[in-house]
Amino acid sequence: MMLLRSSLFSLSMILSTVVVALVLILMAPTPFVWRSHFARGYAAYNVNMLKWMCGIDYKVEGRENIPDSSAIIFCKHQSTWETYALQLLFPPQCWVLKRELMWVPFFGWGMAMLRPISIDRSSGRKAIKQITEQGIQRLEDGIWIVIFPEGTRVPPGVHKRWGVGGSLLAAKASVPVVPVVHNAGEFWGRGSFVKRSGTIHVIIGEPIQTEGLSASEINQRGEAWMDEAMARISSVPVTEEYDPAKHRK
Amino acid sequence: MQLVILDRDGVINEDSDNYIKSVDEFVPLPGSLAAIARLNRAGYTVAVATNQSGVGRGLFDLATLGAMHDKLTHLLAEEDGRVDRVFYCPHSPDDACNCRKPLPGLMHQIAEHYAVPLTGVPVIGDSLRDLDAARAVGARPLLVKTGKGLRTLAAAEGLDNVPVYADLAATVDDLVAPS
Repeated sequence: MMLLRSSLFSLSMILSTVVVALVLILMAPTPFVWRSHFARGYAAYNVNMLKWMCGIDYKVEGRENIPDSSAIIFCKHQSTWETYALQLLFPPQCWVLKRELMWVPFFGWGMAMLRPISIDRSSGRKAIKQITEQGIQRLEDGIWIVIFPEGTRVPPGVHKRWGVGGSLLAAKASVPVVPVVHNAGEFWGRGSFVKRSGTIHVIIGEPIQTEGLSASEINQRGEAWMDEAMARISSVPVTEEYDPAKHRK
Repeated sequence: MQLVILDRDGVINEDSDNYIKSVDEFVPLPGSLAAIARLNRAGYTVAVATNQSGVGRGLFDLATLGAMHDKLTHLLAEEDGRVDRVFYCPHSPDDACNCRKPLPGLMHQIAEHYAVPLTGVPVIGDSLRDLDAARAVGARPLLVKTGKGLRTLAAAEGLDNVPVYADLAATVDDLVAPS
């Protein structure tokens, strides 16, 4: 039964992606905000379809922590779900993504219409420069930035050490970082086609004020909060590697 | 808090000399999940301390390890059981780390995480290295015959009156029995 429901959802998601991508390309001459709002409708459609077809709902804690002016969102990445949900929870935003994603038919073309900060992963320092330059420009335009500091989707219970690109931007731009966690991967995980019904728990943390902090200090605070918050909402135990820096005995 | 520390391969799930490298190879031993659930009901927090040198040897990655524990969680949920946290050493013997059991790094890490001394805490394993790591921090080593347990018994080295049980279920029978 869940296989059938999951198949229906995937079909609906693929069809909506194709249609939305084509419309977004046609909307190329319109202002970014229009395109962003249209993409938000697409996100809402898929979040609702997921609830309706697969019984996956969500609840949000900490909405009051969302600042009034544009900031950088550091979000846990376990699933495709959060790329939709963030659009419903936060103001118009753009993503930092690897260049190759924009070559994916329809999905990537649609993304390209939403002013992403696309980076060339293979070129370390240049990639970081791309993030900072384009990022500051987006923030000045009032657009929020979504960063998945773990770099890729991780299974429930796994914490990947954060990359430094996002926090370097935050330090340079001196804008708040809003950390977000959720456990979407327990219901719609990477590579698990068949979904599990249930309620995804999202927590929006208190913004980290970045003024005067170095990139590594920002990451330290963010990761510590994320570890703790994840332990609270996760039903999957954390799989933790021995850290010689933390346990010198 | 009441803490119990379990080894993973050979105690919770079937062991293999060729490493447990994939989610499919992660197969719980009969009765082990129900035993963990009984520990939970008796008020125990269950932590896992496991050597996973397959990570250091490049046989599988952290994501796969996480996916195995995701599977464990969902199988456990059917029994109403829960593992609180998995502490693992990814290193191979050549790495000169201090977390690979019998070295006590993982035990120290657990003590710090829960902010409790491990004195007298039950540590259930199937190998001498589990027992030695437990002894190093004053915990209480217990041996099961599953996994490499029979081989450990046959070697008969370093056992020093360690209690021996058929499997995790039998160990838990003893731990939660009113004494």
